[in-house]
Parts: sequence; structure tokens; C-alpha cells
Amino acid sequence: MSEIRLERQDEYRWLIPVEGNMRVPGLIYASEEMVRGLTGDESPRQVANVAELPGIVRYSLAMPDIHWGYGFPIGGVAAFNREEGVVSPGGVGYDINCGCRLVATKLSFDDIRERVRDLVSALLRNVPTGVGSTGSIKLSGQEERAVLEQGARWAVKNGYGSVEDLDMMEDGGCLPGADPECISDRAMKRGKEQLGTLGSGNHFLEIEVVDEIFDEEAARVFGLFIGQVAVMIHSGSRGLGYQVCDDYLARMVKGIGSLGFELPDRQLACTYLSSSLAREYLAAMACAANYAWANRQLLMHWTEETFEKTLAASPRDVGMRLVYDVCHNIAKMEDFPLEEGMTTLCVHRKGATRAFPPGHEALCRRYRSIGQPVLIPGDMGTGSYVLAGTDKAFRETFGSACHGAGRTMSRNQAMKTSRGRSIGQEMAKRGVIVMAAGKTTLQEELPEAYKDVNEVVEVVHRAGLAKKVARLRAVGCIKG
Amino acid sequence: MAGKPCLYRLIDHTADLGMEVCGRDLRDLFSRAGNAMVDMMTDRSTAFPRNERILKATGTDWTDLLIAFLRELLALHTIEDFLPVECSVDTIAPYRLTALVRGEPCDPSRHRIIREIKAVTYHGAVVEKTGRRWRGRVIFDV
Repeated sequence: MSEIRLERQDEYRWLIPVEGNMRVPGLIYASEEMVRGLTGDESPRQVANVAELPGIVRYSLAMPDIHWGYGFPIGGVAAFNREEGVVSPGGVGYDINCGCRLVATKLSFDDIRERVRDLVSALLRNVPTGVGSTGSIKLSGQEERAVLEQGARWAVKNGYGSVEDLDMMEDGGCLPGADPECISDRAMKRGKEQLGTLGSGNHFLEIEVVDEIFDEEAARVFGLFIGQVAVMIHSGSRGLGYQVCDDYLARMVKGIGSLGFELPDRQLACTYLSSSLAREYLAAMACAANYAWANRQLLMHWTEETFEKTLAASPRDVGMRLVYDVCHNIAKMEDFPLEEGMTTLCVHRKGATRAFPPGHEALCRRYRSIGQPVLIPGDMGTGSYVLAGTDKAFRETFGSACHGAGRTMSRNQAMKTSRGRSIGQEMAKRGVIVMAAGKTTLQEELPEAYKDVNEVVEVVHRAGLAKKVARLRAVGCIKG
Repeated sequence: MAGKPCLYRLIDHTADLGMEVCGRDLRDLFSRAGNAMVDMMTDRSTAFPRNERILKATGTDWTDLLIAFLRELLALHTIEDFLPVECSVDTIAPYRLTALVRGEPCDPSRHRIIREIKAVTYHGAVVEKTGRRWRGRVIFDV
């Protein structure tokens, strides 16, 4: 296979010209240094592969946190028209609606400075964490169906959080069109005992402090101030989501022969949006997305309880408030301005965050003048960024920005690099208390294994895909 | 090493984890692939092969069959709460197999799970004959 050629368009955009079976060009947003880092990486090839899928509109896109995925690159965005286009479970990923939520508090760092270790160990005790962890909630079949249909609304109805939280979530925490009939028995079984669990791998729950504000007005509207304590939660749809992807991918692989074109990678198995299988997958995917929103709502609830108990403070004193919740593994029908007018497209975001502009009707009234909060977590213990969506992203990237730092080192390499080191102690010296349920998690997730989130966010900001609002530094973190 | 069958080799994948396995024949290759995946998931010395499960899989070609087999093996763990310790393929023909899996019900107080394998992906998956051996390659979402 020939080497992928990248043609520089401007400071942060690199074009992959149409070659072979590509239907549209590829476009990668990255700095020159990041592009040098892609040498020998499979991800530009994956951007080109996605461009071979039918009905793809304009470009196969990649955000600056691009790295080698399976099928789609991680950091990939692709939109398909309804007439000839496809939906691909691999273009959403196994962890459907893996996402982030930022929860602000009324507390300042001085209020918790001496209690961070207590808070982190209490969180590790109270929030079910780690491989195959199960929660304190055991759902009946009927309850599970309600979770799949209602998402975060189910959680609020059952006393976890408030109705106001729903306004602060992408799609109000409930994707329409969810149909539990499209979920297999295996997926239902996996979902029964995992609601309200963080999971393992790169999922985390982090105590952070607002360190820097770049846009005073936007920060004021988002309710952020310097020195403020906040919590970032990164988790998804757990085993139920993995199973939905697995089930539908296997069904679509069986139908590859009847698609009428050659797939460059089986993991890109897909089906035409006009087919009944596409309707079934999207209905099942919506169920998993809703499960993830309910999951993060419960995780926020345990976090709030833990803060109140550990600090012996009232809910009013802690003052937890959801700033926003975004998903970064999803496919959604959204309207975008094309040459022929506003057009409904199926936008796949695989490790990419929606970044809608000011004035968009999908935003709650409070944020409509500023744009959607875009939450970008860094690697373990580094901290996070809050940005705001822009018109440029709406026009250029189907309203999408990056989703994190992006790995540069395999888990195996990370294990080798961290051999003989105590990552927990190293992080503590940097002022971050980290605790993990898994024995090798800290080694596999060491900070050097990731790109520098500051650089990734800088490219997104300078390329105009989202504007920087605030930076938060980590002070405590629990991992699976 | 010539004449010595390899066990498995980890493939460095930036986000995930892969394995490459060799076998004398397809039965050997598939058995080794199953054992390699179990080895990546768990510390096998913490569990006993006291119970048996029969596992069946079908595919559209050898590569699809390998993925289907590993998916079923993973499902024993994620759906049935059964921790596989060892597996051996009994019968294999185009494109179906039967395997015997030994292990025991999951017991978090005793068993050590090394990493969660979310799924067996099709990305870059291969089953091919190279010289007198068979080679398989699979990437997992972890």
C-alpha cells in the first residue's frame, strides 16, 4: 500500500488528495509537529479509508488528537447523506456515547486543599470502579428498558439529580428513537448490573481546579471562576454499549458482499442509511447512548454524596451544578448548511466532540449567546479545557472539535517506559493524588503516553473550531 | 526459533492491543489464539479448570471464524461470568468449529483480571497460511 501524501493547506489543515477508491479528500487538522508525529502511524491511512464509504459529504475529517483506531481513526469525523450514505457501528466505536461531564462546585481550592487525599479515597470507595465493576443498582428488565428509552431523564425521575441538569446535556441526555426491541439479550444482560459504574481503561473521575480563564464573558456564563473546584467525569455505556456495537458489526460484516463496493477494512462494515438494518442499529445505538447519560448522571450523584459526607458540608455549601455533558463516540442525524441548503446528515464522531455555535437551537437558553461548552480532558492528572463551539466548526467540521489529548504510546510501550517507577508517587509530587482500582492502570495511562493536551487545544483554538474559555488543573483522580 | 512453535506476540497498537499467533494447523492456531486472549485478560494461575463449557462458532471465512470464536470465548466471561483458563478446539471445518473450554465461575475475591477486553475487532484481522504454518492476527479494543 502506498504512503499517504499530505498536502499542506494552511497552518493547521492538511489535505489527503483523492486517490484510488476515495470519493472525497481527507482533511486533518494538526500542527506541523503533530503531522511529523504521524509518520509511520496508520491513522492517515484510516482517514483515507473512511473517504471510500458511499455518500460521504465533503471530506473525511480528523481532529488534532488523531491516532490509530480500528476502522475509523480516533479523532475522526465523517458525515453521510441520507440517500446514498451509510452508517457504520465501527465509526461510532464500542463505547457508544463515551463522553465527559463537567460539574462545578461553589467550593474554592482552599476549602479542600487539606482534604484532597480523603476525597480521592472516598470517591474510590463510593464510585464503583474497575474491570467488570458492578453498581449498587440492579435493574429489573422493565427498569432497564426505561433507562434505554429515557436516558438521564430516568435517573432524574428516580431521584438522581434535578430537572435543570437535563438542559445542560447534549440532546437533553436522551437521544430520540431508542427502541429496546433492537437490543440483544446479551446486551440487556450486560447492562443490568453496570449502571452507575465508571469502568476501566482511560475512564476517570477527576477533581480539578479552574486555573486560567481565557474568555471572561464565556466563563461567567458557564459559571466558572479562578480557584473554583470542579469535577470531570469520563465514562460511557459500559458493557451494554460494547455489546450493541459487537452485535451489529457482526451482522453488517455478514452483509459486506451485498454492499456493491469493496471495503478497505472489515471494521468499516456498514449498511445503507435507507436500510432496515440501519434503522435498527440507530435505535439500538440510541438505547446505549441513553444508558451512558443515565450512567454519568448516577456517577455525578455518588460524587456529590461523597463530597458532602467527606467535607461534612450541606448540598448548598458544596453547590454542585452540572456545567455540561458531551458525548464523543456517536452517530447522529443533524442539519448542516450545504451548497444545496440545510441538509440532514448522519454525522459520525469517533473520538470527536460536538461543538455547536452560538445561536444554535440545540443549545439551552443559558448558553445560546456563547456557544456549546466543549469539554476536553487531558491525560491522567493533567487537567482539562473548556472551550466554546464556533460558526467555523459548524461550516467546516460538521460542528465538531477534538475530544482529548490522544495516545502516542501503545499500552505495551507505556508499561515498558514506566517499569520500576511509581507513577502514583510521581503524580503526587506534581500535586495530583491518583488512585486506581486496577494494578497496571497507572502504568498504562502514564502522562507520557499521551499527546500534550495544551498543544491539541491550541490547534483547535487557532484553527477556529472552538475557542478557549478556561483551563482546569487536576488535583485528584480516580481510575478504573 | 526454528522448529519451536511460538506462543503469541503482542502487537503494539497505539490505542488498543493486538496479538499475532502461529499454529501447525488451523486447529492448533485457533486453540492458541483462544489461550492467548485468555492470557491477556487474566492471570490464569489464579483460577482452576474445574468446569467445562462447549463452545460453537461459525463464520464466513477463516478470519471471520477466528473473530466469531474469540467473541464467543469473550462472551463466556462477560455474559456468563465464567472465567476461561484453557481452551482447545475439537473440530474445525470450513467455516465452523467446536471447542472445549475449561475454567470456573468468576470469583472477584480470588481471580485476578489483568485487563478488560471490550471487544474483538475486525481491524486488520488475518488468518493465512505462511509456508507450513498458519498465522492469525487480531486487534482488541481494550
